[in-house]
Order: sequence, then structure tokens, then C-alpha cells
Amino acid sequence: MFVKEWLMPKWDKNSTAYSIVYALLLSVVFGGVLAVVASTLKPLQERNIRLEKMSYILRAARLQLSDPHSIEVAYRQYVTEYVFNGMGEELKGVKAFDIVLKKELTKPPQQQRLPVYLFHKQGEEPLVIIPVEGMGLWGPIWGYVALRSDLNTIYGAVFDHKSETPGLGAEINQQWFQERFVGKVFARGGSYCLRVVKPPVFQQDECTVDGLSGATATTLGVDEMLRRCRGIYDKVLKSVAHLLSQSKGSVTLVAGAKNTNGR
Amino acid sequence: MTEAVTLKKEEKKKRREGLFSKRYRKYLVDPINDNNPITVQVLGICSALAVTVKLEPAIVMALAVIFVTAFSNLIISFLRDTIPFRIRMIVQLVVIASLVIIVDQVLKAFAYDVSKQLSVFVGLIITNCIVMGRLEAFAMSNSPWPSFLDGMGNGLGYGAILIITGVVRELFGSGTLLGWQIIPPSFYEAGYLNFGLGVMPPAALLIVGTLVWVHRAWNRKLIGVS
Repeated sequence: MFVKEWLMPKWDKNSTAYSIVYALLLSVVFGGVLAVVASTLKPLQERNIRLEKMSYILRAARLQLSDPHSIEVAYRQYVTEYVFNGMGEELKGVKAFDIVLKKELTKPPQQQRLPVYLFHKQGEEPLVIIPVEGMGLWGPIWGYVALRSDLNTIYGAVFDHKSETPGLGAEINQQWFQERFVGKVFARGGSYCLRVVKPPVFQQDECTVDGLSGATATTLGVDEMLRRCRGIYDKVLKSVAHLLSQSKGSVTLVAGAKNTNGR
Repeated sequence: MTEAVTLKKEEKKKRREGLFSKRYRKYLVDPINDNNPITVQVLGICSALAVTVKLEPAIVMALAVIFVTAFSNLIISFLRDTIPFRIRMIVQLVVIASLVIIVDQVLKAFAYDVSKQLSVFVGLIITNCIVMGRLEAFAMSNSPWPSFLDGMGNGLGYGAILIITGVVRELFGSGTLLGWQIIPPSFYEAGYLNFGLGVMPPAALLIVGTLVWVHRAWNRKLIGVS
């Protein structure tokens, strides 16, 4: 091509110097192009991630929405965010949505920042949604559990994973699996009882959830995740229960609580 | 000196073919049938197994590979006379990797759900033998437009196999196509069960193997081709 005609006679393309310069130039040019593409698309990508998180929280409250606009509108309308530390004390001025639960759990309880999402649709009972996170077979798993006002009965649950086996562990993000948690309870008679059990399940009660056939490790991962996170949120839920009983049916948990979801 | 220049001009006049001349159309169409990268050249099998559990990721993957193969062919063809021999594979890899990263970023921005389904497999297009294979076999020694067509053709051939495999696996492994329930509930009630094997990699192996056999038997030109 034209490039060769004015470049070639001057420089032997198989010389070391040419190779080095060529490689450097190539890296700079392509690196530059990629940097431009990545930074241009970043806002869109981050929005997608935020939308996904919002849609999960809404889905835990059994509100299925797929288009971005309605997700944002519904979230703003129905969800109020709160942050508590591991001791159950409310923290103000902290943005719940951006908290990475996994990181918080490495801190001592006093320093943990644990998000709580209150979902309240006019005329319906408020739901308390907490995030959960754990380990599957191949990678992290996480989700959101919506509790009814007794803070024990599960209204809905959403799970997702990074790299579980397709068709097996990966099915935790499917509705048919998540529906199994509806109506189940965390505790009975004051002690934790919820178990996600490897099939076949002979005992059908409000504490037992059928796991995934052929996905034992992931099933156990979900079981452990729920157990551990429910334990971590224990003091938080006690505080939430206290505040809910105080406000008795009004929307906000605490007078003057800030809706920190970035309006 | 002037003689050489005039000769070149005449050559150029003769070679000015239409953009879609018979020869060029062959570059585009051959890899779909007679020289299919998967069934004939036996390249790029790996990703064909992984992303064909459902049809939608298979389609997106096919589009991604078409884009990467066509444009890497184009770019390398433009650069072919400038690339030093000793670093030629590295240069090819830089071009392929850059294009794949662009595809990945675009998917994350505009088709987030699909990008999650495809996860690492988009990145693995870099290792797909078809891409580098065509660069070495064609783009390094041909001009840009035919290279582009060849890349596009190979991508389309790969895509065709992917889509067929995706249709079979989703239909029999999940009873759906593109998420729409195809197998009616009455079948399930009568005792029909989805073929569990369909959602596992060995199913793709069996399907692609069968496609290789069927293709080579049906296409007379391929009988005896190794």
C-alpha cells in the first residue's frame, strides 16, 4: 500500500530498531484508541450496573421490571435506603447503594456499614430488604432477601452469581429457584432454622427450601450465605424492628431519615 | 523509472474490479459452505461449545466474531507490508485483542444482560483460531477489501454453525427459543422432560460432530477433503 512506498526505501523493516519503534507506535496508537472507547462508554456501563442492582432490589420485593426508565422510577418511588453498623446503630450520611457488602464484612462490627432497603408501596406492608453475599462453587454468589414486617418471613429473594456452572449452580438466578424461598422463615421459636437442602427433601415446612439437584456446592453456598448474613444483620434487624414498631405504619423508619439514593 | 510507473498504472486499471465481483463474492460465500471454518477447517470449536446453551448468546457471539475477524483482517491487510517479520504474531495479537476489547466494552454498555451471559467468552475470541488463522492465511498476503470479505465470510460460516447448534440445544435442552417457550406445556404434562444433556458441553460436541458429518456428506465437493 501507499505506506510502504514512502517508508520502505528509508528503513529496513526487519531491523531491530524498526521493530522496536513499530511495536511502541502500535502500542501507543491502539492503547489510545482503547482508552478513548473505554472512557466514553464508562458512564453507560456504570449506569447498567446500577440499574441491575436496583432491579434486583425491586425483584426481591417481587416487582419485575425490565426497562431502565421504569426501574429507576419505581426505585425512587418505593425504596428508602438506610445504613446501620454491625451493632445496630443507624449511620446517617452514608450512601447505602454504593456499599460493597463483602468489604464491610471484613471489618469489626462497630465499623461495618450495612445497608437496609425499605420497600414500601402505598397501601401495602413495608418490606425490609437486606443484601447477602457468599461463595458458590466457582466464585462469589450474592443476593437480596425481602422480609415482611415480622422481619422473619421471606417475601421474596433474588440471587446471582459470577461463574457458577451453567444449567446447575447458575440456576440460582432463575425465578423458579428464587420462588422456593417465598413464605419461608429464617427462625422458628427464636432460633435460626432456615436450611437450603440438597434434594430429595422429605421434610416440607417453612424452614426447609429445596436446593438444586446436581449443584450441591452452590446449594450449600446459598445456605451458608443466608445463615451467616442473617447472623450479621441480627442487631440491625432488631433496631429496624424497634423503629418499625415506633412509627407504626408510616413510611419512614426514623424521623428525618435521608433518602440517600442520589435523587 | 517512468516505465515502471506506467506499468503499475496499467496494472491498476486492469485490476480495478467491482466491489462485489465474482471473485470477491467467492471470498465472502465460500467460508459459509465449501470452506466453513468449523466443519471444514475445524477451527474455533471451543467457543462453539460454551456459548450455544441458549440461542441469544450464540447470536451475539457470532456477531462479535464476524466483527473481529472482518476488521482484524482489514487492519492487518492495510499494515501487511509494514509489519516486521519477527514480531508479526504479536502485532496480529494486538490488533485482535484491541478489537475484542472494544466489542466487550460496547456489549457492557449497550447489551449488559447478554454480556453477563457471555462473560469470559467474549474475551476468548482473542484465542479463537479462526481469527488468527485467517490473518495468517489470507490477510497477510492479500489486499484490504478481499481480506475484509474473507474475514466476514469466515465469521458468517462460524455464525451459521453456532446458530444451528444454539437452536438445537436451547430447543431440546430448555424447550425455549430466544426465551420464548416453544415446547407446549401439554407436552410436559404428558411426561416430556427437557433433555438435560442439552445444557451441558458434551451436547455441543455431539451436535457439532454431527454437523461436520452431515455437511461433508451433503456437500459433494467436501467428500474426500481432510
